[in-house]
Amino acid sequence: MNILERSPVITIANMEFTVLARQPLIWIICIVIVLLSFVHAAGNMVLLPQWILDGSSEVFISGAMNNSFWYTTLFCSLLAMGIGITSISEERSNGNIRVLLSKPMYRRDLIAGKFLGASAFLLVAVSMALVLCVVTTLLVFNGPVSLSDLAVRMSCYGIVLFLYCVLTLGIAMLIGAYFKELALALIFAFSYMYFGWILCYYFDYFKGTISSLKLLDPYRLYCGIVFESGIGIFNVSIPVVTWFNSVSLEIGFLILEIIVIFLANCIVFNKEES
Amino acid sequence: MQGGLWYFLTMFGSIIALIIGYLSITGERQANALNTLITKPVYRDSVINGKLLGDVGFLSFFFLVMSLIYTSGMILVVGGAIGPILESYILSIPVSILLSLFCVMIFYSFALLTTILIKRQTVSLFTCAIVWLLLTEVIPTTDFGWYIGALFGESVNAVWDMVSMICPTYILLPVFRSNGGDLIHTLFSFNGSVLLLIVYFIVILFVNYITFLRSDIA
Repeated sequence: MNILERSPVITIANMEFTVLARQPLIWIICIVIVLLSFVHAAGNMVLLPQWILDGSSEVFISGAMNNSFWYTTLFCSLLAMGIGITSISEERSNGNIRVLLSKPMYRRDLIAGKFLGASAFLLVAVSMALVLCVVTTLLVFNGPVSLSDLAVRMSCYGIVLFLYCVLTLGIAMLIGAYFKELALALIFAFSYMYFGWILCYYFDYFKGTISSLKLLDPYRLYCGIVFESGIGIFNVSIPVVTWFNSVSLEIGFLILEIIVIFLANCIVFNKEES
Repeated sequence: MQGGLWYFLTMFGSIIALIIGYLSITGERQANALNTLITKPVYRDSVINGKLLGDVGFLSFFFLVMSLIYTSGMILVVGGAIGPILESYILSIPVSILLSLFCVMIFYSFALLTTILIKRQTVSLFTCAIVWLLLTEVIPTTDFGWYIGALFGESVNAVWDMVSMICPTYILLPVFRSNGGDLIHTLFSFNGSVLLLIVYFIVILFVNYITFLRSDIA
């Protein structure tokens, strides 16, 4: 406990978490996620009973939860992008980072602390978004649901979404560390995100060795993990273990990308002029 | 092909317009140029008029170049297959550019308004981004159509019609998709949609003027 209290990384992480919780931008995105969860649940209240044909418990996961993918991914990754930009670029813009740099600590500790604090915040946000999505839909749905299967699949989806958000966070922090001007960093981050979503579809046209390039596009990699060629996480006819075995390599690559981006952040931030 | 051009211009153009609208105030506010500008003996509406004209000029040029690139690309890929409709397509390009310009200027004006109202750069750009995402990527999706349609007992098509009235990039999409090559003639049968697009633009521009004239922009 004493070590944890003295560690600058934990102190910075703790501070970052508190600062992020007070950001109006974060609350705006959270409100949008909450509103969309209610729309999603309200729509499913009417639609799910129509989709149940044989009284199976599949429709809840393969229908309702599958349909939550788009908006949870979209706004959780936007949240990660907002957090990444806020923690480096905005703090530089308002001069807070200069104060932090004057403290007796390594720069890598500063980056590690910020990354850890922001990741912890993202973990809470992603978990809450998914819990809200599941709970609101469960409340309005009276049909059969396999709760254990739902819990396992949504936990797996939550972990993959969290990893993708952490990667987005790292990229946003890198953009913030590289571009000195806040407006430029914001525009670059937003453009990266938008064109990343668009370019993702073009990777399907690549065949052979060149198709492995899709591993370098975070969004394509993430979509590949969630919807792996017909055995996606929401496909209840395939056991979760089978899904995990087929995507474990991609998940490993996603984690590797997070580590590389984090190291790149440390390198770029070490060159930051105080 | 005209539908493709409209989609190409409005989807990419709306992002560019959003960024230009955001930068036109933020960039100057950050460099303190806006403070200098409003101390000069010019009316405040001249400032906004000037910015508007300059950015419309830039976007028109950008759209012209993008249309040329898109058309050349299509001719190269499809080749002689578009021969029969080539003439009417080329004649419709100026109309497509003009309508796309109206459409993306709604996003431009919204970004301008947000930047005037919200001083914090991150919040203002992300607010623009959220609204843009909702209007282009969330509300006009089939999933959203299903949910809203299911709630109100309407069909997905009815919801799509409603949605196209809210989202600027989708207002004229049916016009471009349903015309058989004669865009101008089809536009007359959908003149309500064109009018709606123009009304959106005028309303948001008017709000911009009021806000810019009355608020502390420094």
